[in-house]
Amino acid sequence: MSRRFPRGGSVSSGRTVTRRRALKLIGGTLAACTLAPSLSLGSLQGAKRPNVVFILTDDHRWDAMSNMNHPFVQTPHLDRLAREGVRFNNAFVTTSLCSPSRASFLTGQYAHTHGVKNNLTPWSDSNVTFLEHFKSAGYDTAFIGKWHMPGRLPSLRGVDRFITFTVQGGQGRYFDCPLIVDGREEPSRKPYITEELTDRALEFIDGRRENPFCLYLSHKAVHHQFLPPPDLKDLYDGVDLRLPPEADSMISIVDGQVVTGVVGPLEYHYRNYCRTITATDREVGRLLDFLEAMGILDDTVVVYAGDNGFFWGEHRLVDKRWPYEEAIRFPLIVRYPPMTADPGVAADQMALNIDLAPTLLDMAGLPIPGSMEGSSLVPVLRDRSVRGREAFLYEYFKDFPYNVPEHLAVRTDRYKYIRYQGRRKSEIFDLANDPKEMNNLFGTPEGNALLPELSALMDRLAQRRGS
Amino acid sequence: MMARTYGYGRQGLARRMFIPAFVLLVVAAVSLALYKNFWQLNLPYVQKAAAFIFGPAAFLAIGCGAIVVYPVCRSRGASVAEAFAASMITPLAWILKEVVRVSEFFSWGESLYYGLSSSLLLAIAANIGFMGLGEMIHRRRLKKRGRAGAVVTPVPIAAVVFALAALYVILIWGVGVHWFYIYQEGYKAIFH
Repeated sequence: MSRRFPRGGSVSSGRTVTRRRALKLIGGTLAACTLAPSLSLGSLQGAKRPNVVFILTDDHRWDAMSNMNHPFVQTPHLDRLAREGVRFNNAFVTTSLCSPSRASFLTGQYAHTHGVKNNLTPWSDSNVTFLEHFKSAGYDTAFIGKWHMPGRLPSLRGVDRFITFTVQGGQGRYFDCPLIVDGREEPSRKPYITEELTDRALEFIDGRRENPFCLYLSHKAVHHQFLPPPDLKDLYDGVDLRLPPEADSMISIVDGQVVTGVVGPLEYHYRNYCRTITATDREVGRLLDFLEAMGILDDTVVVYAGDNGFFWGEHRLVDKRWPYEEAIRFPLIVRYPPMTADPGVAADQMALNIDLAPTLLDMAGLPIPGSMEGSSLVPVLRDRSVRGREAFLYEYFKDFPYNVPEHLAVRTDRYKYIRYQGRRKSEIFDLANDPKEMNNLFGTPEGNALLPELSALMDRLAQRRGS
Repeated sequence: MMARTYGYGRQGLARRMFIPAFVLLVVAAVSLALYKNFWQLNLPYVQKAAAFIFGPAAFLAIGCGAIVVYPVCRSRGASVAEAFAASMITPLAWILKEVVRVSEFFSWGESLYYGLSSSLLLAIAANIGFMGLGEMIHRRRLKKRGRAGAVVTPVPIAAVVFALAALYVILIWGVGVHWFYIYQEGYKAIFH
């Protein structure tokens, strides 16, 4: 018996399907497959929505972790996160400075969009944070830790619990730091701030609730003055610090770098910095253990990030701000087993700080607002072979009295082009052959050949900035 | 009546003022240039040693030069005003260099305000303190040669106290953080 197929169509379940409809179905299915990675487990499974814990540290370099083969810094709990999740080997900030970068994490936007351009331009209450989106979606939310953005402390929308500090211009203190808890000042219950903030985070997590939670835990550590807790004050004594060859003990007090506050021998501060990282790692471990003991670790998206990098003598610099790799890279690790293929396999795709907010929303199955300029990293979590972004724009705005000219940079996977405002010569680096960025190609035949394309790319990426 | 010199005769303006000031300026400039650029020779081990020598040399010449220049000028017959001016040439030249350097990325108004930043102010304050010490050293030498009068008097002591107070407020109080925020508030008040 021959089967009859209507002209131009096919038969399926006794229903006539035209060719056009079939193409639509195929197209729709393909589109769904393409978009599937960006759909959250929550939306696919209905009611189940993940909790979110975002841990942000300050000035933690991307390579100062034992899972990055640092010569001596021990970070067993971050190593665990990387082993059970995905570490992004090429994570970059769009502005290497605390306040703009923090605002970018919160809003998913560049500094030129959210307006916190440096440590002097205030946060605008018109900015919408990812916490606000989570709150609208029925989450319990908390902001705990360093706010440190210019202007008055905001009454942050979409946050059930707002615990922060304002001392030392919002930088806080490592020891006995007074807190502002939902607008009221309270003394610190533990002397060391990283432990105190972790305690506050655990209290929030431990609260009775019907809803999932979204926690933004932002440490003062490991920012200057790089003070470890007393029991770790002798850690790494005597180890070979392996500071870069161009560095020496005094570089932090020349060429205006003293304003960074890193006064005294570089080695002294670097050793303390490394101790403070290990102290912070210990608190990350306490939080992970707590989630595990509650039986919710695998239901919780845990993200660890630093707000920017830090120079420890490279280019004879300390601090951050400059668009060189040491300052613009940051550690980024995401752990969420239900959405992670091949845990422990690192991602090489470029990730940006502005990607965090859309990624978290995506993981929770929430829509990503068009105002966000970053992209969800969920496809990368699901498949480490997907194509990532090819270039990104970096921007730095004048921040008196720090001795860094305003500039724009564009970074591709191979090259970096930096355009400074003022008298300073532009720079082009071939990152494949010159990873330490010591050989400026600008003005050389090779640089001249690269310049038109890099310049056009920068102009294209910078178009949205306006002027 | 001619003033007694106690073995310290008044020499010409160049010898009693400009030469000590110029020598310190050259030491500071050369040390600073070598400190900042030696690493480009790409000699890592020599560079560490060079940095260890030239860095502190530049630091001492700029921040503490008055402890040498001031008593030398005074011993050559310079007045207090002349010795003061000679001692301030190096720190002021350094501040001027810094102001010009930062004008690359700050407006001229901001660059001038930068001249009041902590390290630059400290250089001035420290040299004032060392001038106070230098004056007392000079008086002690005179006393050993028979001059009557007190070595320790309020003015040089005030200079030393001023320097110590500046050191405390600018560098030690909150490890420099408090002063920095005061300075920042000043910037915001003027330029924002």
